[in-house]
Amino acid sequence: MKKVFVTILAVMFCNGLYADSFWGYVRDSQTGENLIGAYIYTSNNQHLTTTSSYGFFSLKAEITDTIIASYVGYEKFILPIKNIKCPYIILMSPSASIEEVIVTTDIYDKNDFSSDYIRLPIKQIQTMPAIAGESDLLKSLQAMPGFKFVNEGQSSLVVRGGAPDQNMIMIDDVPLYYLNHLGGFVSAFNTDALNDVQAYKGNFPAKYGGRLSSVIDVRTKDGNTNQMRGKATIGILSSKFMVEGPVKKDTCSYFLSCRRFMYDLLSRPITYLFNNKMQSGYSFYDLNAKINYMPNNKNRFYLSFYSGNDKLLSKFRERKDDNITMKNISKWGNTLGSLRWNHLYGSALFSNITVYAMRYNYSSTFEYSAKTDDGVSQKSNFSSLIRDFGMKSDFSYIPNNRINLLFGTNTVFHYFNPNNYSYYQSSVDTSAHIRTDNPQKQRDSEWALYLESKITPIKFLSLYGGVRTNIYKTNSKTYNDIEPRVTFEIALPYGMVFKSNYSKMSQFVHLLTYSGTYMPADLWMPSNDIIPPESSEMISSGLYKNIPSVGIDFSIELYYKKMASLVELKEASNLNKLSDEWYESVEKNGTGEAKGIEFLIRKSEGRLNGWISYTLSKAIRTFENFNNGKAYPYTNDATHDVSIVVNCKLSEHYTASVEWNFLTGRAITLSNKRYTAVNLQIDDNGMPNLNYQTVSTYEERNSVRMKPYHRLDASISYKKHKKRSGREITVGVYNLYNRQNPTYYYVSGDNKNRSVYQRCLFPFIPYASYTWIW
Amino acid sequence: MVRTVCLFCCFCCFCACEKETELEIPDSHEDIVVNCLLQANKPFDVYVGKTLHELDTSELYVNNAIVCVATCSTKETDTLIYHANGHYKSTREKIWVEGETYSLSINYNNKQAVAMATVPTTVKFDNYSISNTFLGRDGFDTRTITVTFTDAAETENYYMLFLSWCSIDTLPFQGYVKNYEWYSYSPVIVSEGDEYTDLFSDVLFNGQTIYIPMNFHFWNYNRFYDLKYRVKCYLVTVEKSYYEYCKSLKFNRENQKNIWQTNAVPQIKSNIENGFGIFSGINITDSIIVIL
Repeated sequence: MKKVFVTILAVMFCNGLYADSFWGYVRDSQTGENLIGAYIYTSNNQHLTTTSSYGFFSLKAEITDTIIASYVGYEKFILPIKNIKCPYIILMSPSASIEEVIVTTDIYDKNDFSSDYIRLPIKQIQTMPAIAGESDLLKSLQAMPGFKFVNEGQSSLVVRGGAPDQNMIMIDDVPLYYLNHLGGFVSAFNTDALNDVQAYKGNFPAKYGGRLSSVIDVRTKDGNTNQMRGKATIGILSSKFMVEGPVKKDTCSYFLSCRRFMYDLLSRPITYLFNNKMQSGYSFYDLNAKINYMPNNKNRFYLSFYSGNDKLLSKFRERKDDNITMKNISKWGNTLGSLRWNHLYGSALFSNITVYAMRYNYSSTFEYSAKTDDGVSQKSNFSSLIRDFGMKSDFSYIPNNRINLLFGTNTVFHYFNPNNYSYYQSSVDTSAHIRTDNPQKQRDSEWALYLESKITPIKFLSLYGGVRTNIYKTNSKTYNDIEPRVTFEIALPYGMVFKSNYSKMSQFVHLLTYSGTYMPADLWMPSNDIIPPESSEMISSGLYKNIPSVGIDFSIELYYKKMASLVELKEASNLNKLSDEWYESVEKNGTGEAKGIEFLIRKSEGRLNGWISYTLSKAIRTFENFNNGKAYPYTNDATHDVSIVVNCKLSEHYTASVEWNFLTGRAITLSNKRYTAVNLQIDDNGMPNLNYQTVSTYEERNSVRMKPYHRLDASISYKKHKKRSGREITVGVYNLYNRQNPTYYYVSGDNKNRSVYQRCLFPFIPYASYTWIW
Repeated sequence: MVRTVCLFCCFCCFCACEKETELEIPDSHEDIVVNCLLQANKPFDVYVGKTLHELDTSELYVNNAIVCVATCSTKETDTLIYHANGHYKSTREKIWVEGETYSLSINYNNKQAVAMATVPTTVKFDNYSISNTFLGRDGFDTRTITVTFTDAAETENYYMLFLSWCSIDTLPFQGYVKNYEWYSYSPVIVSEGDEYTDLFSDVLFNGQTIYIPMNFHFWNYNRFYDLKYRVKCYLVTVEKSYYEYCKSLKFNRENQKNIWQTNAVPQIKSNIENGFGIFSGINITDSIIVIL
């Protein structure tokens, strides 16, 4: 038995030793950007690989073979191996033709058309219709099977019955905590700054961990290494500016993009003039910057920076002589910086080392001062702070075409101060000075080691085996976890592939939310002695079929996910208080189940492209102290979910895009009973007295279904590029047939007549934007 | 054609997005509701009601419950008599005692609800100061009364502040202001929700002396008539159960029409076992009168 095993291993590792190694990078010939997920295959269709997140590939092939590189939207690249000196940089040119570009190989990497894994081209995101014309990465993902929105118009994601905080969303390998602006209506990702998006809703590679439901790996642009380019957009919601170019041609480049919400520039002076010296305003911005440096073909360095913040301000000077002032400023957002080093060790081993620092902060400060006889000055601050310092090392070893070994480590040092309230008071009377501070600091560390390999022992069978070990160390407790990730895939007749996988995930930080989505007042909390990490196990199986001659792929996938140790905020809890330890507000040890079947037909190339997706699913939650311990439908449980997206290149200059969505009404908790409540108020005689009023409450969670949701969006873009500059005009309509989709319901009326009312927030909304490109 | 499209767009953009709708609301069970705040120098007055389905328009109060109040230290029991509109009152002129704990028991329709409450201790104002008149943020003449009191360090305390004013002459058009007509920029107040909050805890100033500036506006009559005003401030100490009840009541009301609200409308906290409502002690401990 031992001999057989050794022989198999020897055959697998020695396979292809007679062949030549062909390795290098695939990049855009105009911008020098890495092309992630490009296909590299031999002309005889015997060998195939795809480029990694850094554009790297390694392929063993015969010396007599011809290599073909292909990527959607680019001209095919063909070169005989004998002419190649490695590491070779394949420079691919964008396709000028509007005709269909079909890759005719029939040995597509099966992973690429798995419905567990989605790659959304940035161009497609930018052409999809969106509210106010603000193209949005996360909202585009909502149109894919398995992904759902939390509330209409919002960019928070629910993936296969998981909560929004169970999605690991990373920008250049650094996880983000706060993902939205404008109350969740705009995501933190400026599409001008993005290069590639890969989303996993199951079957997670072992290199990813720390969240239960999905991983969305966002890569920003590296910067044009050939020439300086720029772009400026004036939109209804925000205005954007982007510039990129070489510092030293083909060696060093920079990228800078900025997006800002502009209305506060108007609202602050207007409110000051017309509201008795009171200024108020709201703004957000995103800033992405990157420098990439390639001293040679074996080394590459990236220095990335991202800052995205929201600010809500109101300032007031009460008296004419400005003796009384009030200032209320709330700020929240992420700031991060990362340094990455790519290194190539010969033809088969590639490494990426990342060092990063990330800061998430929510702060609300209120100041009052009176220059009166008392001289009272008071200041309070509520803040929630997370600081992460992390280091990752990822290695990819490709000894031959049958084995791809991935391994690495991930270390993160967390600093949490999640619920910090401070108060300061000073006055002329020094005995009345107060200084209160209640930091609830916690320093944790997270250690992970992973090993993963794709092995293809025979042509029709591939095995992916991976394991990730996690150690999460809190102040006084250490959690250990081993997460296996297993996938096997079998090539079936008629070009079909069957795939089945199992994965286990853990999550060490939790979002305690009032709203169910990411809001500034929602707090990220770490696991501790009392709150254990959340965990999930998922099995999924799917059947995939690719028809390369027409560029269509088709998939059906079933999944079952079980979640444990889930947490929720307790009923009527108020986190922003100094008096409570935060974990006293947490309902813990919840369980969840999600199951479903997903269909996807996608045509990702050609003049006419798009997809049709359908999901049939069910998701439930059980908490001991909610719903009398009975299971209840999860908030975002929608039985049927249909999306149809069609993009059409009408001519050289015009592109049209249409999107239709249908969703079964969400499960909501609507009050079903009312009673009389009392509180103390001043009565008509100026005395404190009791006041009675009717209030509403409910018995069962999520026992009411909203009406079905559906809407049609359409947009048309005009693009014209001249030699040195170009322009792009987009006009579109959100909710074309003005469907009054309910955002929420409420019961209203007096003691004689009571009815249910619905409110729609997004009726027919036209939009336009103008972009200048140079 | 263009005009038609433009008109359609305008219509759609500005058409009413709120409308009555048909939606099936699940049935509900009937529960006992009890509302009773033990107040200074007032006899026991307990409201007993029941929960109804959201769309049921029947009367919410109950007139055939058996309501008993007992003093925990002396075990003295008093059965209350139905008065009107769901209110049950003591047969005797029984007044509550500060620091005493009372238990309440309601029997209705083969169900029993019980609760306990303790009357909180008295706290006095230390001092107060009054600012000159200035033009407030809403354009009215405004003054600030800054009240000072000292919190007891050893316990968690919860307070309410009330303010009312009227003309020193009893002109018919000048009634008392409602509590929501005063506001404070003190972080102690604002941190509880907004500047109109009248209920706060001692979390930020436990055991310390606290200044609370209370801004109130009055109509500009004195510009023409040179009237004098009488302003009265009340300091009320309340139990933690009432503080939590009021906070959740406010949270419940604010979330009824919240566009971000995807979870349930928050439940209102209650200290009634097997029922809804509140049985809690409050103590209107002090008041100051200022003539302006």
